[in-house]
Amino acid sequence: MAMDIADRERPYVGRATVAVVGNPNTGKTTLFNALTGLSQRVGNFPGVTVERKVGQLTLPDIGAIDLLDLPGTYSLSAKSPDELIAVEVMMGLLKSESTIQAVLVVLDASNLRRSLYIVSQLLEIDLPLVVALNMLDVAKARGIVIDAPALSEHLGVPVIPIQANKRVGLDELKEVLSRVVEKGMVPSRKSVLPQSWWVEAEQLARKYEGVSTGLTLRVLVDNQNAFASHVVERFGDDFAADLHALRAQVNVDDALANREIELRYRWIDEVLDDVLRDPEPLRVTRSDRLDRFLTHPIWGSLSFAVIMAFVFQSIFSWAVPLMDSIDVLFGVIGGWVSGYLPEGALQSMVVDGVIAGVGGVVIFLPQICILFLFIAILEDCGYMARAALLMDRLLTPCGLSGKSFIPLLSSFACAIPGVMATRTINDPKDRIATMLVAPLMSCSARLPVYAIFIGAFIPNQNVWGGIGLQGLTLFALYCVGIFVAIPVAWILKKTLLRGQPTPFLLELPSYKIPDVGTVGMRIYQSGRHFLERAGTLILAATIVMWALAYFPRSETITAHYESERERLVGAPEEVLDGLRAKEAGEMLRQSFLGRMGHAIEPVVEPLGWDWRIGMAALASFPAREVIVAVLGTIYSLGEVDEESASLRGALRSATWSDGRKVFNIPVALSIMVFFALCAQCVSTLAVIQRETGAWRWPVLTFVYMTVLAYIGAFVTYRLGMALGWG
Amino acid sequence: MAYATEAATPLSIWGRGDEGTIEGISGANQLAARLREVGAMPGVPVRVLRVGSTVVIQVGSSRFCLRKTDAACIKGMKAA
Repeated sequence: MAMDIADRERPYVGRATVAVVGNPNTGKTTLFNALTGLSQRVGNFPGVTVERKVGQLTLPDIGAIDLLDLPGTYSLSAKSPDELIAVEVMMGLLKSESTIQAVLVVLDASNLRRSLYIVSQLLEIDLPLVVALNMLDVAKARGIVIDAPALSEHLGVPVIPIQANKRVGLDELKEVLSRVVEKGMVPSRKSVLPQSWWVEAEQLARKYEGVSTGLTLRVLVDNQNAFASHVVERFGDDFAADLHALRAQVNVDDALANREIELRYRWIDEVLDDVLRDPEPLRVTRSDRLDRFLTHPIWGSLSFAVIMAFVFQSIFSWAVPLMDSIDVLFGVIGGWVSGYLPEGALQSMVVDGVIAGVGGVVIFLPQICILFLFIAILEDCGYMARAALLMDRLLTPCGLSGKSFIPLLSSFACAIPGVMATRTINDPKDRIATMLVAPLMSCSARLPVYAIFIGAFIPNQNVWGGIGLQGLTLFALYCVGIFVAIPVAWILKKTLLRGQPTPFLLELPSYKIPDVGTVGMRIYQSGRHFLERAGTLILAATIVMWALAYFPRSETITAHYESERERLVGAPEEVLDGLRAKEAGEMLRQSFLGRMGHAIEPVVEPLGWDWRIGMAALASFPAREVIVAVLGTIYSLGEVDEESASLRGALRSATWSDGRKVFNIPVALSIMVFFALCAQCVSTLAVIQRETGAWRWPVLTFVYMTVLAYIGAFVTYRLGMALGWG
Repeated sequence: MAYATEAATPLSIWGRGDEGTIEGISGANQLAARLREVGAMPGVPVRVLRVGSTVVIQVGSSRFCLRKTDAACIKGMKAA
């Protein structure tokens, strides 16, 4: 019996892994999401920082397998660091990666010719292959007819028509995948390349252990691209010398790579003669008509601005009811906990530290979700590539290209994936320049900071047609980062990173209705990430800050107010409340935090800040959201006024010792500009260090951003006061 | 036909809406290699969708944007 169970149960280790590959924009991610759902884990490939997405998939006969989503690539001849990962995994070169048992290649039926290029390469690498023919509906609507069985016959591998966005054909795909993985059906190699190339490649492969003929053929053909250089580096000087000799032998006119492309397309065109009916290859589609407007130099840029303004306004107006309910929830929890815990340090830590601090951050979950809803929709519908096109004009004068725009755009979500996404940039100098300005893009962690100050101090008035002053302020803050990034990148490219402008080639996919599953997955993952950060890094920082603000307890102050209270027995409630507030304020001022705060006050005063803001900003250098938590803690320790239970109210009523209000519009703007420009994220700096392999780049990033933040905040405050906004 | 005597011209000087076929791509750099890999091969139909400092070209059924200066490496025969 026991044997039986052991037999049936497939151990987790060593179970099959199937790689999902394909051109960019083929619906690869939609299919991956549809197949794996919530089982996916996002991590990094060991040693490198390209995002590694693995999900679980249960197949009819063989049970659970791992599905690995590889970066989109047009060819196995890798040209950028992220394509290199995809090719390395498929070639079995990433040693720590589990071996790939089969490859699932996703094709765009409306772009079949181009999609078949990588298929013709995959047919030659000795791995079982299954073809998913996606977007047949789009092809059909355009009058394109594809004979899938004939395609399957030509390729010698199964071809399954699917519609990933409508979950059509997935059961058949799973069945076929199961059969192919179980039997390990490797396509019979019918290479389109000359036999002589293979003979030479095999000779070279035989001399080195663990090197396949498929691999040597690739490095033979790929002269000096990312992949070839990587392999040569890995296998050493002898390999390089042998390869060089072989190239000299085979390669007469140094155009092996061109010859490969030519031969493959000759084969593809032969196959398509039998398989594809496309009456009008150069048709004008609905996407083209939309693009005439959306990529127009004037109308396109204008619509870009309107779309962004709408996004930022929605972040405010849609989130309010949800945020209010979270606020109420935390209020109830706080009240409930206060009732159960005895008065003292523990109660204060839970209520003033954790609930007021972390709760103050968690409140922004709805806004984070709305931001990612828009990012996911704009990405999935195909608009982002158009935005990159429009931005290329802005980026070219600073020596960068539209290629840098995609990583910069990801940085609006978070600079960490943004810095990682620079791996799509081939030129190393462009890559570093992009990484150095990426943290200037307003990431989602800045959103809570902006939201609290805009919500509290910027009047909620309508400016024009539903676009309010609050939304416009938020939009302006996002622009601050962009407009500062331009001169910074320009200076970097003129000084430390001088170089030629690099070419820019980006596909504009057809517009499509965003896939609900893909959008939902993006929101879910970013929401979870936000809560995890709030529960770990922010929580830890909050507790440390609470302790600094709570200790030491002064016996003299407590004794003084005790006697004061005894003297005033029977006095009205308001008098007693005022007394408690005074006690709390005095206690805070003599705490460790208060003492430190007064020491730094001269530094932050020119910005219009009091010591509490200064300390909160200082505490936010590890992670900028901390400011919200710390302000929550400081104000809930410093005030006992029921009216200011919410942080917004506490900020509005905060005063200097002479009774003047601490906050006004220039102060709020000065704080927000500081946070827009400052490098307050340890993780980003660590990623820049890892990606560049040098400390000088994160150090430079930190220094220039912090200096700019201080100057920016100073100018904003002075300008605001001069304009009479105070 | 005057067509046969006309020389191939770089796509960078084509106007919006101009179409024709690709004659060839010059250069051995990675951009040229990538353009070939995505199917910009001789004989393939091509159309210019956007002009300016960043151009958009349609190669078969795909659309790509690239700089005007880079588009100069693609030579095409304009249809009459």
